[in-house]
Amino acid sequence: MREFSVPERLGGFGALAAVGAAIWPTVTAGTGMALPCLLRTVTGVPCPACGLTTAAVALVHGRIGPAFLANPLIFGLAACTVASGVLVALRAAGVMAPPRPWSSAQRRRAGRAAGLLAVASWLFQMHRLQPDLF
Amino acid sequence: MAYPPPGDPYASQFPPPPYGQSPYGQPAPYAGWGSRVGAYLIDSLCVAPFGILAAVFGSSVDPATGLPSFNASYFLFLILGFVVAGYNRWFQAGRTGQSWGRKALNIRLLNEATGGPIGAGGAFVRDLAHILDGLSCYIGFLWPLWDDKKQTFADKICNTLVVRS
Repeated sequence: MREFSVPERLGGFGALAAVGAAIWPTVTAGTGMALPCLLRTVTGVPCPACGLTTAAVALVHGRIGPAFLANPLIFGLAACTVASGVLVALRAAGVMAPPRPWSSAQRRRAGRAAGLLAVASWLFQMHRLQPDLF
Repeated sequence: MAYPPPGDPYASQFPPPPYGQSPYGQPAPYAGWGSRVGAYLIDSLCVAPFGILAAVFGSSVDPATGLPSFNASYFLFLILGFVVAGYNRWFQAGRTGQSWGRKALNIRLLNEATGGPIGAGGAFVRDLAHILDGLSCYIGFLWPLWDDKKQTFADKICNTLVVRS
């Protein structure tokens, strides 16, 4: 099997997360399990990923609005999952060439973009969960 | 020609490259995120029965107060589970690089500098360091998805790699 690219791996994670989100309400109802934010539990400050479980569960059940209000980042992961699914299928069929590693400049740009997204998400979550703090 | 050449008196001055840095641009055999998660799930399943037994046979509700109460079986099963997890994830994985889950999925935990097992203490400290992976919004657990060496934060702190066997 060929080595998957980073977007393809993220897409694979997104697919797994979608399956997990589909069964998560059943699991929590039966066991009382939860996926707490450790940063928020320890410090009281939400993290950029807060709300992602809620958003993923809402999105796989077709509730777009609540998903966006919980954490808009879930739409990025969903888009990456759908796009990488198509890419993997086309590459497996030989229609597209296998992915090429990104240059160091491209990786730097992607890292900066991810950092900016994380900061934006953090501000969003602080506004959502700690309006008195922010 | 191989370098350093056979019989080179200075050959010992060139240390071997750190594990995972394959020569001539060959891909390093790092374990994928999916197989790492799978191995962790198998390791967890190995101790899950002890938690279930503890919950079924060791816990009840105090009829007087209505609060949860625990008998000796509860703590016995929890200790048994801890011993099994410790043997599997720290003792065995530290000595051989493979817990039961990693063995099932043909992956191995290694010291990045030596390429050998990290020892029981190292495996214990690495599992403790996973707390940082969770504290960072669980991003540390996802870091192998895009990291060059497919390492978590715990791997970077403890200088460890997970590779395909």
